[in-house]
Amino acid sequence: MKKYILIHFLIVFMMICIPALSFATDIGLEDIKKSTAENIEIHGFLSQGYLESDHNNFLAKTEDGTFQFNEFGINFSTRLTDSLEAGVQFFGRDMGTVGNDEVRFDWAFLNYNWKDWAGFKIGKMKMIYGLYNEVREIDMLRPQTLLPQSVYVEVYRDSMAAITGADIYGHIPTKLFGSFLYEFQVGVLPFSVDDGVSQLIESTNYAWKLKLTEVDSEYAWSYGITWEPPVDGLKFRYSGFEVNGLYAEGDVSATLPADINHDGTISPGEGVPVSSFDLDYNLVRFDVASAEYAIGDFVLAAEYMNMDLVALYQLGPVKVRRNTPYMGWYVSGAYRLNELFTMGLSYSEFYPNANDKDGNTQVAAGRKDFQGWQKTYTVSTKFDVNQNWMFKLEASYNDGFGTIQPFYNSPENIEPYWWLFAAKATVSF
Amino acid sequence: MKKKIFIIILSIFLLFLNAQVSVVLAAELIIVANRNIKQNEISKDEIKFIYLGRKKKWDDDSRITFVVLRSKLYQEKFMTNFLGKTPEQFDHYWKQNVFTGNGQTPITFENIKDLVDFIANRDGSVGYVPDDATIGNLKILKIK
Repeated sequence: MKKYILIHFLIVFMMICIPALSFATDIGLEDIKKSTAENIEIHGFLSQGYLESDHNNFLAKTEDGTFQFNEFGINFSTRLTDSLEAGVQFFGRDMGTVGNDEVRFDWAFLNYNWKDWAGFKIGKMKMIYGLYNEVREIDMLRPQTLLPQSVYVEVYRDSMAAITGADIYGHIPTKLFGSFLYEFQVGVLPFSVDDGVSQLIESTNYAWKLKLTEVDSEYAWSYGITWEPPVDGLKFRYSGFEVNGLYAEGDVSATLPADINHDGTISPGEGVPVSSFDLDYNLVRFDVASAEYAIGDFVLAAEYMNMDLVALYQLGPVKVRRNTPYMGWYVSGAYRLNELFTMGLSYSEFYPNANDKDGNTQVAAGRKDFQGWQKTYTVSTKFDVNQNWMFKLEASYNDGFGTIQPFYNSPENIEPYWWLFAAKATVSF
Repeated sequence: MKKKIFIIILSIFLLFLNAQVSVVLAAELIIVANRNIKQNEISKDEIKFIYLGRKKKWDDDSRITFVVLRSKLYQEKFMTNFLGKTPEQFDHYWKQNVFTGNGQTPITFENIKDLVDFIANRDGSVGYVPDDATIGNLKILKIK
């Protein structure tokens, strides 16, 4: 209910703002039309990739090699007045069974730059999270083919990419301490029964043959504070977001073991049949501390992510509360050797349960201990053929399979040590 | 299999390894602006914030339009000295803005005459040229 009130409020606010701002700047609709016609910019990109692993399917059916790994987008932007800009980007992607090249709004918003220290956006905009969430859809803007999964978990990508609501941002320079940039967002995140979050919920409850019928949330908020000290190329950022009222409902086909006939034993198949599943998240919160240093043709980056998650599961009459904090971090370096070639190295660690880095709870749950961590060494190469074309090759060596997205794998076939190879070509304009 | 992949990547790395070329620039750069701009001075920080899209208005609230001289010699010197970025980092920064909806592609010119003509005819515009360039009636902003 809160989400719909917020959306309607924002729509009404936008309907008031546009004519009000036109009046305030003494520019009429004809001037907006003329300005728009003169400077509409159009940009786009298309990426096609290939993934293959020697063991363990990761993100898609990679053991057999897969081309289900692409992204494409086109955007239009214009300046409506001296202070008001508008733009929209359409985007589609495919990664395994997620995306399936369905075109959606990536972002679409009005941006009113009132002062350098205060600007406002309304609409759907990229969500602040870490250094690279805002550009994670844009492959040609980084040397890596895949962002470090320890911080940029792929399964959450569809829901974390953008927030629909309102945004306030600004730049505050100081004489001694460099510059501070801030950005705060509030709105709603997109969830659907076909996205990565839903796949994750269904896969972790596959024993009950769970099929989700609804996934949604009330609202979310995000923040980003960036400090650029008086050292060229250096920046620090603290950012994160919280989702409120996230829930999932679905149908299951399961029997909860119970002594129905009161004979003191539970026979195979004896129990209470259940058909409904409810999941309420009391807390979903991500926080990231980031640092980046670009010096000459070198870029060094490091990020640390902490995620708190408290969920209440209800399967028929049974309720279970789970507190599962994730933790992940990485360090990376990239060097642009010349106009053609950039090389990158990174190391990352991810723990699906930050309180159990040895995998003991995995073993207790009937899984393997190495599903309690994932340590990844990655070599990335990028070839800029020209301003429009580039392609990448990447190899990752993994110790552990602590991914929270173990889809497409049979538990008995998961291996502790495995390689993932990626190749991708991108054209942009 | 893993060894072959490693050898391929290493070979490609060695194939594209090139020495960097350093360039000696004869002329100094000056900051020029449209005649209608009220201020006569500008700080290095202001120039940096303008070219990174963080300062969008002059003190009288009129819009700033900055232009880039797409010349390997002058662009590299300007960006290194004023923005602390290489031209590639600058392009990368604006590509990020373009593809996240936070800005439009900077206006660029390959030759000085076109740049000077643009600034002369666009209110609020600012750019950089070598100090021996013909700038007509453009205002030179003194670096403070």
